Amino acid sequence: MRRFDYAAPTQVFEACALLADRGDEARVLAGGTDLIVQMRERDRRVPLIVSLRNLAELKGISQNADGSLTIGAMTTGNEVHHSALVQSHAFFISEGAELLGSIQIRNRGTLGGNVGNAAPSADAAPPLVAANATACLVGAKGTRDVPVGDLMTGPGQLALEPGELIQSFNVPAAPAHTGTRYVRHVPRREMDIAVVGIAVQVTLEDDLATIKDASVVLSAVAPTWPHATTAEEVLRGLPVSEQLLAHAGEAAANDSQPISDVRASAAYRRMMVDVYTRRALATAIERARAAV
Amino acid sequence: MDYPLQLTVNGIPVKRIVEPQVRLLDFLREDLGLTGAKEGCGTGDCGACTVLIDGDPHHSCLTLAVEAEGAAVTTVEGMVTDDKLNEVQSAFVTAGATQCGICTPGFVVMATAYLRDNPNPTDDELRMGIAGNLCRCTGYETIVTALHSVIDGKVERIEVSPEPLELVPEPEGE
Repeated sequence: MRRFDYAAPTQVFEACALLADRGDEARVLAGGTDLIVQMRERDRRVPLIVSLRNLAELKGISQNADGSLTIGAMTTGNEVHHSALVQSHAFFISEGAELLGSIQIRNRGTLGGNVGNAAPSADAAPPLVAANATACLVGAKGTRDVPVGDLMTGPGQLALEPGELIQSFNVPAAPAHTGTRYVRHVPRREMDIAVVGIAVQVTLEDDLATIKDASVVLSAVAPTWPHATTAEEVLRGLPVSEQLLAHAGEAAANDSQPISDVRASAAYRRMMVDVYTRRALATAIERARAAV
Repeated sequence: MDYPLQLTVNGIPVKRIVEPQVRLLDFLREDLGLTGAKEGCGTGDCGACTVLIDGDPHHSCLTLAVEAEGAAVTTVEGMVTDDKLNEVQSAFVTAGATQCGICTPGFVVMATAYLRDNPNPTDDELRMGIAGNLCRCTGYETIVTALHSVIDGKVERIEVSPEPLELVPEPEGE
């Protein structure tokens, strides 16, 4: 690895000042499971690494008075996965975090890093988008909240101002009768990158038979983590049936914009979006019915 | 600029000056002479470099040494206590769960932590628990057999007479 300077500030404003001051020369280090690999394999020159490890404001999971959940950007994959708060609040965020590499990776890799790395195939980010979570960004001018769905502008690209970093995520409380599911398709069971990922949040009417609202977010089949908006429209207001889920799956496949690469062809990906959207919806609906 | 680093390794306090791009793996192997942790892939896929940081398994190849400031690091060398191999190490010996041996230290460290946190996993859970460790000889069956003998409480710790664990001394600075 090439030589670099290293700073591990203890105050958020110091970190932001360093990033603003050094611009493109500085890179943020969270868990390093992506950055360290990129720096070594691509022989990337990074003059300054700003480590976030000493920033207490970026750590931990807490419930707010309005029922929403705040998850610090530096919370690790294992902490998110095992958190009882996360599991009861939005189960699919725990489910997505469980799929980040191995136990070793999940002990280093962070939720903020998974979002910040902005890979279209991210597993932990799409559930945040489907749960309508916002990212709290902090910079020299203070903080601002941006929907996680608007944060990623393309592969590896984030809508961050110079000197800004992700401090935390805020996940609103879901209405009653809500169930969630994140599921991905991979050729092997562990240690692989999603061919297709589907994050679903479904809210049922009091009759537990009609869909009140549905959020369907796609991973690995578009340049970002988009909502499958046609599929969501198809679902809203209609009674649950096998046929409805089939329509939604088809619509989601049409909403996807997959590419062909080493993992799968675009045509195969589109078919898998159909299959996995149906499966994810079925599980989310089951969970919505089981929820108190 | 070089950075002062203080941590404990296998219970021994260590104080060194390191360059920031040095990985914990290189620091352990080259600066301290602890060659148990191995470099397999260098990209966090194979787990051969697994060490415990504050009790949790991490890839030492993806961790900068400076990021271990203040931490308690345990390597496979630190798993021998009271002149006895730990249960996982002993089970590996008894089951012959080693072929070329490159992956063994990583598996031992990972499985020790996993079974501490999950003493009664199903076979499926156990296999998922060690999914981040690859054996290039594909010797998984004996490894899983060894770990089941730990789960079943059938392992007697094996006595060894190791060389006293000594770290490479701090270089004389100017």
